Amino acid sequence: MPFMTMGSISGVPRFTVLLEPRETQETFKKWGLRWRLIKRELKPAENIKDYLNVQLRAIVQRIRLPERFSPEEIIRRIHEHVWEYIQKDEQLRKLLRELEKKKGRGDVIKTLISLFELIDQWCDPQKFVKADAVAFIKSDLDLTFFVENARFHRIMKAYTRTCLMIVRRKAPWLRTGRARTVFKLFTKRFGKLKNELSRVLDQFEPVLFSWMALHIYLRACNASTYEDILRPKFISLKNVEYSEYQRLLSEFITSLDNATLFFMKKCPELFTISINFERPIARMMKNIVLSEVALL
Amino acid sequence: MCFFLDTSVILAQVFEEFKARIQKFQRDVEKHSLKCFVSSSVVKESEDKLDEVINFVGKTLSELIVFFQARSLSTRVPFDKLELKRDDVLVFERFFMDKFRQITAAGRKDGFVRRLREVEVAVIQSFEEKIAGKESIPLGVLMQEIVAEVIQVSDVLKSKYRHVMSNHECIDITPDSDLLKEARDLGLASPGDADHVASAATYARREGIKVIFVSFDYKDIVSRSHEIERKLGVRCSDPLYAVYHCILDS
Repeated sequence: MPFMTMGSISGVPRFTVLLEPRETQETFKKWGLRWRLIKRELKPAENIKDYLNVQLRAIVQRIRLPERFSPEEIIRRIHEHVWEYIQKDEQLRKLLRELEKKKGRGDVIKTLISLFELIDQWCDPQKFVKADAVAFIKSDLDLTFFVENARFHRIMKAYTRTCLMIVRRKAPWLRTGRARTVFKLFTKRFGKLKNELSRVLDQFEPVLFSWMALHIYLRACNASTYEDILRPKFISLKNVEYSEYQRLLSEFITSLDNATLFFMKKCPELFTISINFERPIARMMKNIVLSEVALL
Repeated sequence: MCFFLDTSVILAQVFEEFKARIQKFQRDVEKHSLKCFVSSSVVKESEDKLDEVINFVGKTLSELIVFFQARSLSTRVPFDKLELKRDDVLVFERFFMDKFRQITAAGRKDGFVRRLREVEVAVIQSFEEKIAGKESIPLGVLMQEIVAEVIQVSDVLKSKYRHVMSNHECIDITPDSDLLKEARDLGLASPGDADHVASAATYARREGIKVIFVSFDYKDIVSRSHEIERKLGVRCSDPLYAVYHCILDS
């Protein structure tokens, strides 16, 4: 999955958090009786296609792009690229359409769970590391850049796991007998679910946006046409404006550090992995660092 | 009364070295409800050290790739198609030999030679591991796998570092200039050491409390504890004995 699509989709749950519960009543006559039909909906703030555009705009606007490119055109091209990818991926397309169409009939939560499961499935840090190793070979960026990238993928994994945990735990509350009949209770419980998801998104979005901003900037600086931005060949620091690169990088690392503290508490198992220091690479790192702080 | 931790203690936790001593120290801290701080200079040094080593390894691997690319040009085999056989280990030997020669000619410090030796061992062992039972191995695949493992290990180390730091309170201190001068005059070998000890001394003076600087660095710090205490008012100790310096004196 291309990084821009992966990044864009992982921000989509915010769209669901923006849903508002709404109850409408309809009275009609049938078989000589008066019937009252109560419809309960979660009204989306906008459609997903527009939401992706808003998200991309927020990211691109924080970058000082090379003059040869128009921010509007970059947004349009990336948006088009992401949307095309979504249309090609049947499972994803179906899920996003459901998320939009159901407009929160109780089972929208089911769709949200499926979306998180799908993102979790894509988010395979092992696979990303392999792609980053290839990217390192095809660039002159420092290796620490790719290590921070790997840290980001770990955060993304922690984010989807945390959201899944929340939604799975809270979804049954919305289906209990009382919540189904008492709208006030349903609204209250849905509000709690939204708040909890919002808190997680508040931690994840700054990292996601700064990560995407940094990558889009690097690609734009190393491209001569709009097409090149989507298909980079060699990423070189020689083509960037160093102060802008440093600004975006430090913004990314700061938000990464903040999010790490938050997600470390939520998914400690993802951050306390043991290393086999008998393996050549791990042993090399250990021997170098420890000898330089007078430990060997 | 409180402790200030040295870079050596933080990194020993990350690399799971001296586990028993550190666990005992952590139990002591908890038992006596003592405060444990990490100064901003230690935070910076620890992070910089990890990044510097990661980039050194990355740079060496990049140079190795360029070396092979040049060879692929001379043999007219595209880099992607270049296959390494067991006897190509001698190409690695030539590469590292050249690097050592450059370092020596440039009058670089021993640290660089040691670093390079460690990278050399890791590359050769990885090569032997990956070629075991095979006739040959594509160079591109070998390099990708080595780089991927370096990224993976570094990522875990950085996560462990964050985890270790989350158990301590970081404190932003600008060392008092007089104390910093005293520390430098003591001839603390690494430039960071003077900053760390002077930060602890600044805190002790400002708060009017006793501070123990906890370190594994015997060569420059622990073995010179009396001298440092006389000049800066901070006692230095190995984690194993740190708590006794606190409780026995009080």
